[in-house]
Amino acid sequence: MKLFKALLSVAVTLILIGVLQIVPTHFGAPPIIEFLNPVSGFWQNAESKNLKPDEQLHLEGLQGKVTIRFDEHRIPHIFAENDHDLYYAQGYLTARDRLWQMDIQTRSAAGRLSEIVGPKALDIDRYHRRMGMTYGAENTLKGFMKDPVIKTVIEAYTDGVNSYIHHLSKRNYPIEFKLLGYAPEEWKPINCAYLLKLMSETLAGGSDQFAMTNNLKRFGAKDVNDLFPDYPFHEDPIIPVGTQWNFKPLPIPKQSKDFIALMTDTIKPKERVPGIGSNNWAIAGSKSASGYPILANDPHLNLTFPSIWYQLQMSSPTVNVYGVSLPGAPCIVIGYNQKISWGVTNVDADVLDWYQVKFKNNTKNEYWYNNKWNKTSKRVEVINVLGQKPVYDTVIYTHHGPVVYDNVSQKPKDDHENIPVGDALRWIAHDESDEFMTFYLLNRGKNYNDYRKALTYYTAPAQNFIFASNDKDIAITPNGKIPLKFRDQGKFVMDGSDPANDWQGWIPYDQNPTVKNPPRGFVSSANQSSTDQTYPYYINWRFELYDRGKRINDRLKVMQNATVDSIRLLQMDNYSIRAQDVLPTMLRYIDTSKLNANQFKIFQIVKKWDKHFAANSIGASIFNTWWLKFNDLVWDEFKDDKVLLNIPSFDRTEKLLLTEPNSKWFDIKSTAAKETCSDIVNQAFTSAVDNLLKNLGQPGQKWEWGNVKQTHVNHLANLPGFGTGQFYTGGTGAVINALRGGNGPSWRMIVQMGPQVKGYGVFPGGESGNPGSFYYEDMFTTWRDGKLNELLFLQSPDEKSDRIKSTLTLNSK
Amino acid sequence: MIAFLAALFIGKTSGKAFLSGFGAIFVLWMILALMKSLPNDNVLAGRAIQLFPLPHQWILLLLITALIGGLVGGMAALSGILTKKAFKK
Repeated sequence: MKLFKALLSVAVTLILIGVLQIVPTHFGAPPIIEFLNPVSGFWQNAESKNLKPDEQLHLEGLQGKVTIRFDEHRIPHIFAENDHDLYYAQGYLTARDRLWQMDIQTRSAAGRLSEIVGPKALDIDRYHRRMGMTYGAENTLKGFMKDPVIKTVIEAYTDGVNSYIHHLSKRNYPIEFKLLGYAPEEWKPINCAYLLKLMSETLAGGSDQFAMTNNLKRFGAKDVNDLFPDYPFHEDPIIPVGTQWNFKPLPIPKQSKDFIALMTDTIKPKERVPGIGSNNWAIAGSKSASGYPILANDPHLNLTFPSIWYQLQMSSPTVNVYGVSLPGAPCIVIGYNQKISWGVTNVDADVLDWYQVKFKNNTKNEYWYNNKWNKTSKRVEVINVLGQKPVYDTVIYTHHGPVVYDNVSQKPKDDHENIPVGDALRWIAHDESDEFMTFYLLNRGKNYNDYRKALTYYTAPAQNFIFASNDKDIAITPNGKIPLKFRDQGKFVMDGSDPANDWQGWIPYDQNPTVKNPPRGFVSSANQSSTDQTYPYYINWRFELYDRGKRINDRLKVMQNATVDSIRLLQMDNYSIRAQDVLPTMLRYIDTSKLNANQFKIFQIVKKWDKHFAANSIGASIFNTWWLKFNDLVWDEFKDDKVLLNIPSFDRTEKLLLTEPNSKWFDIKSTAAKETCSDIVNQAFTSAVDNLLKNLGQPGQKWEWGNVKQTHVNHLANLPGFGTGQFYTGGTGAVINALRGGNGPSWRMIVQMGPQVKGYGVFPGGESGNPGSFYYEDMFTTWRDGKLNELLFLQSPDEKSDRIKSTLTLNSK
Repeated sequence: MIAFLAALFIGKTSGKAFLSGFGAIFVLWMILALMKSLPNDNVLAGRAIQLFPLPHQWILLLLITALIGGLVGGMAALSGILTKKAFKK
């Protein structure tokens, strides 16, 4: 009996421990007892507010001494004796602050999430593999490793990261590793390439060719050409209208006989997300109070904790640069040094195309191209899955690239087996490249010529590189490796058997659109069309709407004696060009005699609205709902549950509203009556008002734009409690302060050039990726309130500043 | 394990063993957790509690931690004393 009791008790204890090992919290499956264990669990991630002022470390692989000064935001200012140690230290410090972010981002790009979370991530892993992210990263890495300078940079960075990982004990793992129950792994040079692939996926990885091809089949060429024009109704291009092209262009490839593929499947690749964008501008000395240029940049990306950017100063005998880097990639991406400053926004060049492939038979070993059968190649992707056998996924490659969607493998055996069709993907992100060289050179750039040279190394994702220097030069260049195409090549899915549909080379770098010191005294970009219609080459048929660009240009045109503060206010500007363009017309159409008391009251509010998407604006909420409803009603023809269609842009809706009141598109198909523009505007208004009243009650605090639009910054894994929660703020997608949902200005920077260059900047978050750190979100409120921090740009490691709070010295071992 | 062995050698009655095992680990874990959390102004605990479907009070997380530690400690000690008794006869 006693023995039984004893055994029972031991058993219960073991079961208890066992149960506590597997009891999951509600988001994943961390072993709860390990997570709570104060010796090794999450309590260990609680950082003390009492920081050691001085720290000395001895690390393997360093060649000399590195001095790192930390300011009040714990931003590192690295002073190395040589370049190797500089990038080593960058890797080491980034890993120290952002190891889990580095791991999860590259893991996701590499299609390796299933390894840590199991089969639920298989679809996303398979997608990344089949899109050729691993294939592209391997090619890109080849490019890096051929360049001796970049090879050294990446290897030093990698050694720095690994030096940190090697000395990391389990109890000090970032909290996310503990939650997900896995361990950090060795950093590899290819991870730096994966990070670039991730940026290409975000900024140049969406496509609407499928939808456009379906549009063509449904509506015919005439309507499609009318509704999806190659140049927008409203535009204010990046390169000022009338700029001369002083080069002799290459011959433009001839349009293929039948450039549109005959058949299209109804599969959905990642759709192009509208509203991805950023702003940058630089004003000449003639417009600034100091007489020197001022440069500004705010890239709009998904806002997360940890922040997408990592801020630092990097100094060695060859360089002294300040700015932001991507955790997991060496060099500064956006920043400044004593001589120059630069920034980027997305170009949205068409660098992703689909080709219909005709296979000889089900083995798919051969495909029809150039009037003969050609061999395909096959690449087996091995996806390791937590708790299961690995998944082997074979991807077929033609000379274009991977056949992302394999029909046969996803359809029942007796269905369509005789029609072996799939689409091959040609994507710039698959190509060998050397983007880090661009940043390496910009970090060290001294003048305009250095800037131009740096750009020739850049492949993807194409960016509008803006520039200002102490020589009082300003410039902007939509830049990247841009395929040489005939007009509209890749607007639709193409026939992959015709060589005339292939990319026919590249636009020479020195013929990418560019402008230096234009007479208007400023350069700017906000993802709108790169040029006017005189530019000889085809870059894309559609760009982002002109709204932000137009507002920036309108303001800069009249700006005189500008200071950093005038530029800061412009970055926070909420004025809506769309409202300016369409609201007066929409108001005019409203027949107030038909409105009830409530509707009339709301009509009066939006009529008096100042067109600013300010946090406390009720007019903004009304206009926004009204406009979306209007757009919805106009394009009812494009609603289809079965076939993916592309809806015309807001720009086209605006043209319809302003110039084509009797267009057939205003007629709602499902009603017997024949609606006109006036009917739709009125209907949209009453329906929008009814909606708002129903959801928010009578106009009041709940109607304020800041409450309606629901802005937040979430943790990268959406862990509750690890983000900001919803906060009250102004801005929206099509105004300069493009803050909406969880997307917006991920880094706001302003640089005042001059003998003493002064930088200002802030990002939503903090340097540390540890939710248990006081530097996890210490810059958030400054960012939210539209303020900037003055950036501490030290000229030597010994420079005195009361902003320096601690020092870390790295010595070789 | 320590609770198990301690009870195995010096434990007297099963009830006492459980209580002392429970109490020892309960207090130990609470002190260890507080030593980390207090200099942190309980910032992390305040976030981490939101991972659980519980009121957002960091102190709850401290209690759960101590309770779970204590439970395991207590059961281990109980097992120790019962094992000893089983072999003593």
